[in-house]
Amino acid sequence: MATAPRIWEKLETIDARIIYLILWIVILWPFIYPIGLPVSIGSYSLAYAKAIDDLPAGSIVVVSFDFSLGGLGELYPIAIATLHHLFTKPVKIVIIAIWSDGAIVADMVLKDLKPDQPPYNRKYGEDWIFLGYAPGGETAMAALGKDFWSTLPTDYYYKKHVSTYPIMQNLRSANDVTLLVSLETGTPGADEWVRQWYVPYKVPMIVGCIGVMAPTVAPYLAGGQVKGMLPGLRAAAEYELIIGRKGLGVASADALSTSHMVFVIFVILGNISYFMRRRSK
Amino acid sequence: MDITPLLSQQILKSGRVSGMVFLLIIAASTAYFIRRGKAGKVPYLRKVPGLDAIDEAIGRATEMGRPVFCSHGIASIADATYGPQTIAGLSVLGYVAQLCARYGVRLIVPVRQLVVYPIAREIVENAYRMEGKLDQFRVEDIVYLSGWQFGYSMGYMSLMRREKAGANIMVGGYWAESLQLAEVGYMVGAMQVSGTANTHQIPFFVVATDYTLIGEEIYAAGAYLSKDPAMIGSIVAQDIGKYVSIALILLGFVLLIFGNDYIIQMLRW
Amino acid sequence: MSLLRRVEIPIAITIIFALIQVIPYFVNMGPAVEATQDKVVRWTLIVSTGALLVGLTSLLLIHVPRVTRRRTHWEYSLLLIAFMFLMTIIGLPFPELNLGLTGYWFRFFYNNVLTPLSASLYAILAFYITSAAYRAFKARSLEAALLLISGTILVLRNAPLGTFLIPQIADLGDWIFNIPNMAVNRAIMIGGGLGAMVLGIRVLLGYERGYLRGGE
Repeated sequence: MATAPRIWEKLETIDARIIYLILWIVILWPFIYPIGLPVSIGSYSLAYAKAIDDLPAGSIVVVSFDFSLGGLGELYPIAIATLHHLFTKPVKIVIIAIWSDGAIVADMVLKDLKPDQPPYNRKYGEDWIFLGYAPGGETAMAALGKDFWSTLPTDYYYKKHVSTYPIMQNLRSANDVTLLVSLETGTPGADEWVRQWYVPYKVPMIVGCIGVMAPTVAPYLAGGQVKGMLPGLRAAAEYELIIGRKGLGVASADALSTSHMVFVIFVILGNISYFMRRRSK
Repeated sequence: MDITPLLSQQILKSGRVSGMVFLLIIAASTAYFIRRGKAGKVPYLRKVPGLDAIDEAIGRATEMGRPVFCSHGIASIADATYGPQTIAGLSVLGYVAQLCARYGVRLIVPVRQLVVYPIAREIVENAYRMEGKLDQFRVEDIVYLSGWQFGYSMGYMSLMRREKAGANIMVGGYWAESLQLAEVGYMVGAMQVSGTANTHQIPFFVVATDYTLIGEEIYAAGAYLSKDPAMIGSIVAQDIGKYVSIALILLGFVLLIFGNDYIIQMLRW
Repeated sequence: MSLLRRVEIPIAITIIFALIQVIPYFVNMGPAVEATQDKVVRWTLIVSTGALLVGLTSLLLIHVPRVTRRRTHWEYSLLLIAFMFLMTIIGLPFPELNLGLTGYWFRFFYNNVLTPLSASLYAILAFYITSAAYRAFKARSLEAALLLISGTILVLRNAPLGTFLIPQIADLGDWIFNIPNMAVNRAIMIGGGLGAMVLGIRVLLGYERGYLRGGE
């Protein structure tokens, strides 16, 4: 029986491109033929939504886009859902970016959401404002914490001084902020916000991040610095279900299932072939 | 200890006192153990297989007649949090460059941060000079690829494929590109040594490369590879820091069971 | 050895500027010192911008000879040089010519070239992690088996189908994430933080010279 071990050997050293092709098909398939599997909701997503639901009327919320284009796949649905949720609440929203690409991404999201139009009808400069990119990474976070006006003196769209907008009259430093929302893929992100805004000003924050960042953010959840977290697409789907606005997160849930299942099948196959080959030796 | 007078006189910044005390303890321990090391009392250092494997990887690349790739991550050296990882990576680069010059194997250094470029170039050039092989130093092999993260990884991946990397040594701050680089390194048959303190990227390196330096090991790399007694001595200070941390965790835990949150309050000073 | 090549000078500069940052972080030194601290941070931005020229030189040094000597794949090098200058020109702040970061052309290339490229490159990770896991996720030892089992549970926990088929996997996955994972993460974070501190102190004391011309 010389052929049997050869099969296991072949299976173990399978061409990676075959794996890629199978994965590509199973990711694409549910987008064409959706399965509609139910998504159970986790505690982190509930806590994230609750942090926004519990905001008193008139609170100032800072939403920071701390990611570039690479994170769009996972963070775009989170950004859209979060801003939708915020725009339906009677709170003031200040949008900033600590990453240079973040400003462009935020602009894309805002253009898709159109907060000035129904169902939101929120007035620019009064209910919300977009201040653009603050260069300097962690230094910019610290500077914003001290003084918003001097760190981001003009807004992104009209390049007018922030003092001319009613929303900015009550926002001078991090002490005036009720909640910080950081949408992030890496550094600078949650670590730096905790250091620059939580430690000195005790500003509570919630984090939407890519899945791989979850273990890095999690210690801050247990520590109480971060109130809620949405890591990756699954969390985006959960959050969309909580706020009742199905979007890209829910649409991607099936693809998430199929790709993860194929991953598990490959790992099992890899182990079977490994043990069979070892046994035959 | 009551530090209220210092805070009320606004000498020390509130919320940062415990950090300062901790820093002073570590600084004093480092200075003390460096002195001890210089006096010849070198502590025992456990083997770090990842660092020992660097020699093997370069030797293997030399035998195969393929180039060695050595990168130091994508963080800027000026970054407060991640800069130390780049410094650690550059220490490894110095060692790798010296070995490459000695064995006459080509060394390619992909760079993402412009500020780091002249430093990396200087390190490699000096290593070749010290080995008396300055004529073999090729400035075009210290390659600035792109400031854009994925432009860098794309350039790095194609360089490895094109030049058929024999070894790929990556020590520093890596993010999403970690797995891309490691997987392509595997595909081209390079022996790979990786290391990062970015906890979320460690699993990718562990899965895809031959040896991985985990967290604090990368910071000890410079001292370990230099074999300088003073530098090796300084590593003991890391252990002192660990003992203090463990003591605080245990004490805080026990006190909290009895309803006393003194340690938590103390850390908030 | 010429004065400029002496290693003591960069070490002295490092120590002075590091102390300007470190001491006012802990101690109130008054507005004058804090202003100096801010100024030093701004200098790093200026130095980084100046370094752009170094990058440009390095890129041209590699790609121009490749084009002129018609080496393999010289066409790509030509494209790289062309796009580098093109993006520089369309990024210049002349809004009246529709140039600059908010101008039409910059947006055009950003939205239609950079955005899909970034998303695709990031998406490659899904493929790479599957092939890497297929190759390396083997139960070779007890530790590897534990890693394999816990990893698989978390993957299933993250897939809606996983929690749909085995609802208990959600609690088990959360436990692994919140307890063992968090404990290990904290330990690595503490160890990493300490390592960075000791390295910083070695730099301040002038012992860590690996970043200075390879140790001499």
